[in-house]
Amino acid sequence: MIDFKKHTLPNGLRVLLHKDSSTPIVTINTVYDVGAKDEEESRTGFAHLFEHLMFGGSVNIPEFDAPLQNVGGQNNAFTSNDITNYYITLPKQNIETGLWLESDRMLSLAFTPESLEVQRSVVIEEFKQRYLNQPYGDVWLLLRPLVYETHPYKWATIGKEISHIEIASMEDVKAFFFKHYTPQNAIISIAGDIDFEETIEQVEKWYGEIPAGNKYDRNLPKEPKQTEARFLEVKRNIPQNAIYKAWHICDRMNPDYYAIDLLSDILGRGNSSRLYQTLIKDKNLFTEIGAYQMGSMEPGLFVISGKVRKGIDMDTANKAIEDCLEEIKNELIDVDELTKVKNKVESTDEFGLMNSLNKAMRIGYFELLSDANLANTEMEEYVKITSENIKEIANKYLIPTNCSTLFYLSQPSN
Amino acid sequence: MTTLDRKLAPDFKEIEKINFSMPEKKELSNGIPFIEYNLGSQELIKIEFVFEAGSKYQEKPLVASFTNAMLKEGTSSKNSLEIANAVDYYGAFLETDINSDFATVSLYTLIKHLQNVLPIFQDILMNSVFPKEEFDKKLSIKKQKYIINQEKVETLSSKAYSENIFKGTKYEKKTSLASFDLISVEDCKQFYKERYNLGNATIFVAGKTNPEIYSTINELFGTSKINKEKIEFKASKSMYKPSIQFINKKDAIQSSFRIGKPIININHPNFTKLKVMNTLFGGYFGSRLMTNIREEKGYTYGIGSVLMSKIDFANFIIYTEVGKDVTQAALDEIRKEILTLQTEKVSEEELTKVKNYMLGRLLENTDGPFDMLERYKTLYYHNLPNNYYNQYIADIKSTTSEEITKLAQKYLYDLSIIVAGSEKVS
Repeated sequence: MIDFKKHTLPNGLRVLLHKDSSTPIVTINTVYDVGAKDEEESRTGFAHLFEHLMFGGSVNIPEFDAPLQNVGGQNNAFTSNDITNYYITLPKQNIETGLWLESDRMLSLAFTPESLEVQRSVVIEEFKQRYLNQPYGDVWLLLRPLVYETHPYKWATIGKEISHIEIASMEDVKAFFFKHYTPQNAIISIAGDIDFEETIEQVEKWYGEIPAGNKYDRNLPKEPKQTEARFLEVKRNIPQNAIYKAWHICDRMNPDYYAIDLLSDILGRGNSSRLYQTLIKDKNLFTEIGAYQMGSMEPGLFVISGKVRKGIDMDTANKAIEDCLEEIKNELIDVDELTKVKNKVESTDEFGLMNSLNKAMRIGYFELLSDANLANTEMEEYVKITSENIKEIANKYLIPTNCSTLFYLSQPSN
Repeated sequence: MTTLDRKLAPDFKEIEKINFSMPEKKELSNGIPFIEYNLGSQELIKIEFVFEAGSKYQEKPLVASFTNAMLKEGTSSKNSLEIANAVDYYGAFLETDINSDFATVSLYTLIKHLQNVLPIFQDILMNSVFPKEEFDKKLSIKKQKYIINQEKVETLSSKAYSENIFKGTKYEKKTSLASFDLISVEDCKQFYKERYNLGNATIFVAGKTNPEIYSTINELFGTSKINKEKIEFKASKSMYKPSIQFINKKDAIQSSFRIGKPIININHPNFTKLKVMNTLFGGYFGSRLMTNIREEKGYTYGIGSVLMSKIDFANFIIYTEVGKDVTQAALDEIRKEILTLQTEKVSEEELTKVKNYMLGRLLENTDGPFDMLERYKTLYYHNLPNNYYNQYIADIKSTTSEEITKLAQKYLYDLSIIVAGSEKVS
């Protein structure tokens, strides 16, 4: 349970406060309602590049990191297809330093050309390190455009290609900032040993003057319903074949979400899961296998991916995955198996509450989704799921015409 | 409306004191050390059995890690699926972990399920049988992973680095592809028998504990007779010699660097101050290496340096992956930063920032039962005094810029340089 208070500033900034008197550390989490899905197709990778620029100094403060480190704090950020999230953790007595820094970069950035040039190179190195210079690193660069034809989820957060990052201009940067980085597109959540009134006063002091900006109306192209199975095969210089399969599913707020999430756990979470036991242990076809759903805000994906044991034919391996799905679609799962995955969701939640950063991030995320209190009530939705629901959901979504399959094959270079 | 001066930083307070709480130390009835932190507000707990069973004790490569990984694969009464199911059913997490010094088996569970999961935990610790079929499967899976990892430049540079730095010591890793064909399930059974006996274990518990937890654990683990005789272990001396090595990886678009040498360990009086030096040099986001090589030059996504303490051996290491075209330029900049640290006085401003940053991290890293336990284990296994962290804070605060220069001169020489990629350096 995360108790919190909510307060909205006149400029539209939403503020969530959670008191945890057991910790000497305070977390300030800021989530902006912007992700890679808000990019233009000819300018991908921008939301993430922009996240890097947020550390290049703001309008009144030349450096972001140094003043924070100087008071014992640290920070980081991440970008997804849906959101951009920034967080600071620091000793509670120095909370105001965090608010000062974080509010100034919401007010405006320094927009120095040097910062753009350097972060452009850093992001290009990140692109190489994580996506190109790694075995299987480009899987999502291949899979996303196979699965999505029109929806902006068809490109990865890092971007479609390096050239998009190379051509980003300062005008693009400024326009992006004033379009998305406004108080009404942001939620800050603060967790720690705080006094509610005092903290609200400090937030008002530092954020109150920031102009509300224009409301951004998201109008993303809808993905048409997939009507036939898709298939792609690539060859790479890697030592072992792999299979990736993805099915379109619902969005995060759809009631189906909870059954889908549990279904992915039944199939792919941990060593007692069905895919692990059947395909690795019993049939000896795979060396790694997993299943998960992406949990994205717009209609997302259910994914099964695995590395195929050497010498095993790809079609045999693929067929074995499909057989596991047929079983789920035809037979009701045992109550014990369902209880198992529910218990795991419950304990994962409980362990997540140990840390104030997790808590701040969680309520901020749910507030963006719809309502911060969902962070506390969501477990009830999981509890309601029955074996029948799991079977229905499997039959509704995990069907061949809704599936895209990628064979990622080993072809060692001489 | 107001005259808020946004250019002016708000006042701040330095961290004066950190509440480092000590655990309660007991023993089970048969003498197994039992160390307990009763902290936290969630109804959950972590139970950790730490064995002196790390890879430095193995006679053959891979034996220690396979023994550790095989614990969950079968006992005299349960097969691997039954073990996994029994743990997962109660939402618990059973983790096995290994490094060069220790093997760890941990159980994370909600307290309400403890009675149900603890017997499984006991079973794998006391009755593992190492089924041959499971072993063979695991062996071929790990072998595949090993082969995939050989495709990464960072794997290649790390491996060559360790071979060089740990040469002649028990930490020297001799794993190669052939090692997978030389290990047998009998090796693991033997290692399990020698190293995973309860006389070789320490139990750590952290979370919202209560007296019943001790009794339950004592019932299951405290009644059998244990053998506390230690198997003799001699740490051998390093035969380290500085060298420059290039490992060719055709078509790599990035080069991976590992640069470092053996160095003083945590028990040495200079260690904390050396850590201040290292943090300033490469140990945090605002470090010299990050500022120059990432934030000014854009050569890399990340660069850092660290002092790695094992029980009998420590080393200093700089690590990064940089664009192929800037391989030599990056190395030149790293060398330049070392030289600058040895020859130019660090400003008070920079030094203060580093000190405050380090104190903030200590504050954060002692927050909550699990973090506190990790900090305590450092004291326990390195035989450091109970007031170690007070001394640590005092040492950080008293470090001067002259000391930083002197430490850099004293320790940052004779470094080995390992680079893996498609671009040579000189």
